[in-house]
Parts: sequence; structure tokens; C-alpha cells
Amino acid sequence: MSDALVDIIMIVDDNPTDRFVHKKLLEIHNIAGKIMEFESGKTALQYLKTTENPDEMPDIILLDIMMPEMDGFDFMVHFNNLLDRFPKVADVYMLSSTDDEKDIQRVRNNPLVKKMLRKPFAPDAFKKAIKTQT
Amino acid sequence: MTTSTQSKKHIKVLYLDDEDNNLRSFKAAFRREYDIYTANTSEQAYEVIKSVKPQVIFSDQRMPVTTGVDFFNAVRQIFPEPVRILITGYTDINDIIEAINKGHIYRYITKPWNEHEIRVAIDNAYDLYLTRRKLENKVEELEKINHELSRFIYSASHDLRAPLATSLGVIRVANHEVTDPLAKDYFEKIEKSVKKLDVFVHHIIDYYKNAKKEEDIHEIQFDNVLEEVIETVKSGLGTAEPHIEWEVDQDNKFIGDEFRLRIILSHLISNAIKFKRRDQEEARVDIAIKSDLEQAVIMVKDAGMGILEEHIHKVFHMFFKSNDERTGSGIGLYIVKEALNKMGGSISVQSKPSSGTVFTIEIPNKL
Repeated sequence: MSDALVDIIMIVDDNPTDRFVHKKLLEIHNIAGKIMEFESGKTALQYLKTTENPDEMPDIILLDIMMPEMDGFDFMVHFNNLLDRFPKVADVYMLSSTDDEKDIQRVRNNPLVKKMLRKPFAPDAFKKAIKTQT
Repeated sequence: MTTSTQSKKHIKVLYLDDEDNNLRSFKAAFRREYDIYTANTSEQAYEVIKSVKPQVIFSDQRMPVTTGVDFFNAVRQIFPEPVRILITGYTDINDIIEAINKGHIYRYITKPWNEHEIRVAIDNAYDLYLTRRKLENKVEELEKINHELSRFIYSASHDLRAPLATSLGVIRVANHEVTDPLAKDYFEKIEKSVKKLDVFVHHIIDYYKNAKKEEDIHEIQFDNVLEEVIETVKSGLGTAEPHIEWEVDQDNKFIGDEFRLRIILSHLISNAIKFKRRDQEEARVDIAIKSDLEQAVIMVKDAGMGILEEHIHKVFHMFFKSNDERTGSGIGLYIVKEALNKMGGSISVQSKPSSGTVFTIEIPNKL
């Protein structure tokens, strides 16, 4: 899988079908070498906090906005404290099924979030976004 | 007589006066018709207001510690509901006129009062009290409905949209993994109708947001907004990439309502893509935005099927639909028009059947 666009992508989404869709589309388009799935912000943060091997830290995080308990923006607050655990800080892409203008504004005001992507996940747009980032 | 006497009994009246004789005669005169409470100091009066909540309050103007006007001014800060009436001699007339004009008191009655005058005053004051209460209830009710509507829009935009987005994602995956042409044909049919529903949900949400939302004004970078809108529109499409060219000419700062600008652009661009000619491989859309200190002029031009002459004046009507099967909810252009109305902008359309359509929009710069 060395020819994949990105080494490790972390998916954080409470909806199992959406996780399945994202994972499948990432695989089909050969975007990620390795995909990690988490069903909540809490479990994802736990992973980021405890992983010892820097090679196992994600390069990109696909983060759902609307999740119970801890939503995507809450996740970002905690993520902010973990930046020095990354050899290179992961690019965060937020996923949303709404075009709520408040969310758009919040994403724009958060320098750690690269972009807001609309569901359903569009692999081509995502690939383009990754390429323009690097 | 008995019935009307009884029907008024629930009106609670407080009378404040430092002279006990006045209080006694007032009570004696009206206690059969109204619930009369009396007080000879303002402290006592406050106690009564707190515990029995009178609808009408009378006060004498000349009292040793405070004047009636001062008392009422203080009362209305804490208890604005009761209607306030001053009882006074002719001598303090200037103070009273001022008090009425400032809204401290509803009216005044001159001493010596007669029973009829007081009765009319109480009844009128009570009517006013009721009317105010009704109005307050209505306002409260409307605020509640408004609040619920915003919550509905928010949950509708997520709870209705999310499962549709998931379904579209599953279809996207299935199209990659399944090769059976029959199955693909089924997927396509499912996708088509899910998309139709998705668009409809979007339009409803946009409609309500536009109807409800106050103008939300800040600085606009047209190239950023346009790029994001184009991307969003494209992400909602299937496989056929449209050919979109755009150009933004913005030298000055532009202040406007970005939320509505997004609505307008996304509706016009998706229409331009949707209504391509049948013989066109891909839709072709040209967008040009030119903004100066006065206004922004936006042109969205397609080379699509065009609009029939007899339909052109109807395209902005709510629920207008052409016969074309690709036609949507029939509210897209209506929403565009409504959004422009709120922004003080305008829209015009030129079209030639089977050669294309140009929408031209003007939005004032609120700099």
C-alpha cells in the first residue's frame, strides 16, 4: 500500500454505515495506506493520548461534526492539547450533512481544521483537497 | 344590576392615601362592586401589591413621605402590570401632566372625586389591563413558536439530511463494487429519487432560514464564497463533472449578507447544471462577479435548454414547475427572489430556448 496518497487516516463518526462508506471509498480510491475507525471522539482521543509509536499517529482525521456526547468541535478542543504528540500534526477534515452557516463559520475560524466536507463523502473532492494542502 | 355587580367583583383595586377618612369612604363606596384594598403608607401598598396583585392602583398625590407620582414611578419598575391612576387637587397640575406624558400614570382624577367617575376609571383601566395581558400572551406565544421553528429547522436539516447522505454514500460504494448491469440500473433509480428528496429537503430548509433569519452582514470575499459554493454543488452531483468557469473582479471591500449570497449562488448554479441540453455531454456554466463600492453584479450563464418565452415571467413564482422531468421542488428560484428581496437586490433573466439562460443579479454594497 506504499502507493497510497496518505499513510494513516483516522475516521471518527458515530454512524457505522457512514464509517463503512468512508472506509470503502478511501480503499477503492487508494487514498489511505491504513484506516482506523472510532465510533466516538472519546475513544479516538484515548488512542491519540496513549499511542507510543509516532508512526502509528494518523496523518489525516476525518471528523464527523454531529456526534452525541462529544461533537466534532468539542473533540477539537481536546485535540488542541495533543499537538505535541504528533511527529507531524494531523490535518483535520470535518464532515457534515448540514450546511449550517454557524458550522461553516466555526470551521473557518479554526486553523486546525483544513476544510469542511459535505456528506456523502466525495473521494475526488477529498483527493483534490489533500493535494492542494501539501 | 346584580349580575354586572358580581361580574366585576374579581377586579382588585388598591387605594393608597395617607388620610384614613379617604380610604374608609372609598372602601365603603366600592366594596360591593370591586375587591378593594387600602394602604396608608407606600410600604403597606407594596405589601398589598406583592400579595394580592391588584390590576388597578389609585394613589393620592400629596402624601408626607413620597408623592403619588414618585410612588408610581417606583412601582412600575418592579410591578409594571397594574394600571396606575392618580388622585389629586388642581394645584399640582404640571407635575401630573409630565407624569402622564412619561407614561408613569394612565390617568388622573381630581378631588373631590365622584363615584361615577371612579367607576368608569376602574372599568377602563381594567379593560386596558386585560388588553395588555392578551398582547403579552400573544407575544410570548409567538416567541415560543419562533423558537420551536428554529429548532425544527435545525433538527430537520440534520435528521432529515443525514440518512439521505448516508444512503447516497452507500449507493456510491455499491456502484464501485457491484458490476451487474441490472443492479446498477436499480441503484441509479434509487439514487435519482433519493437525490430528489435531498434537494427538496435542502430547499425547504433554505426557505425557512431565509424567511426567518435577520440580515447577517459582514465582509464578503466573493472568490472564497463562490469557490466553496461550487464545490458544495459539485459534491451533490453524480459522476458527470460540469464544466464551470468563473471570474471574480473585486477590488473593494464588500459588506453584505453572506448566508443569503450562498443560497442564491447555489440555487442558480445547480439550476444551470441541471437544465443542460439533452445533446450536451457536460453542462457548461460561466459565472462572473464584478463588485465595486456601489454594488456587486453577478452573472450566471449556462448553455443549457433555456426557458420557454411563455414561462419566463413565471420562473420566480412559488411552486412553478416546467414540464421537464428534471424540474425540482418548484421553490428554488422563488427562494432566490425572496433572499434578494431581503438584501435589497434584484434579479433579471434572459433566455433563449435550446441555447441558454443568463441570470443577472445586483446586490447593493452595505459598506
